[in-house]
Amino acid sequence: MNIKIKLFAAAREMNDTGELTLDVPVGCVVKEMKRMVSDDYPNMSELIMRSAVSLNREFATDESVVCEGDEIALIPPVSGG
Amino acid sequence: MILITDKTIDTSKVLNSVKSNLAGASVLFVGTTRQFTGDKETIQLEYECYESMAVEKIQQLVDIAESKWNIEQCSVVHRIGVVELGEASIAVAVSTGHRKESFEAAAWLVDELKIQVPIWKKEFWADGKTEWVHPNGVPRPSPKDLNSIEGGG
Repeated sequence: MNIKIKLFAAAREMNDTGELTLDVPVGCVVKEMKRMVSDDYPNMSELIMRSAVSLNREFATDESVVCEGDEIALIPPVSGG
Repeated sequence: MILITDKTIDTSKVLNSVKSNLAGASVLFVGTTRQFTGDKETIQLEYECYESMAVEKIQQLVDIAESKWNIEQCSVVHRIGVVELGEASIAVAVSTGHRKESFEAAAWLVDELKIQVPIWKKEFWADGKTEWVHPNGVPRPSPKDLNSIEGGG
């Protein structure tokens, strides 16, 4: 299934895009998804390791299942304030 | 009031937004762009956010703060885009019956926002370099962990 992943800050700039499309197997969990993004975009791998993932605007765990149509984002360490 | 804005933050308006006859204390925190970090000079900051999630996360933090302290009114405003030296990037205002609670609640809200809310800043250094600030930190808490964070109260 195809999923879209929103990118922000350094991740967005490294790839010159605010959104990636990725083909992942049904039942894929966040940990696997991060590994697949890392493999496809090695320039981001260090940042991905330090990033969280949100599913539908809530922080997900490594074992959270990614579903088609989910609003998915890679959340690098934040620095607001 | 919870607001993400690309306009200058009117801090007196933020403070006014927490006015209440039931409050005996109001605290306003304003975070501004600092010129020096150690010996490195900043010329400006730029903020970016995942707005829909940021607003939801801030609302969750406000809800938790309201359960920990006896808050009358609470406002959180964060600016995005370029923020020049001395200008406000964030304003948090809290009003409570007594001062201890508004100091504690405002400090807690700012601390948690800096850990959990998807907003990022980019440094524009005086030497011409730029840098997204992605601190080395522990992964942010899951919503379950968040509920167990101890507050002052």
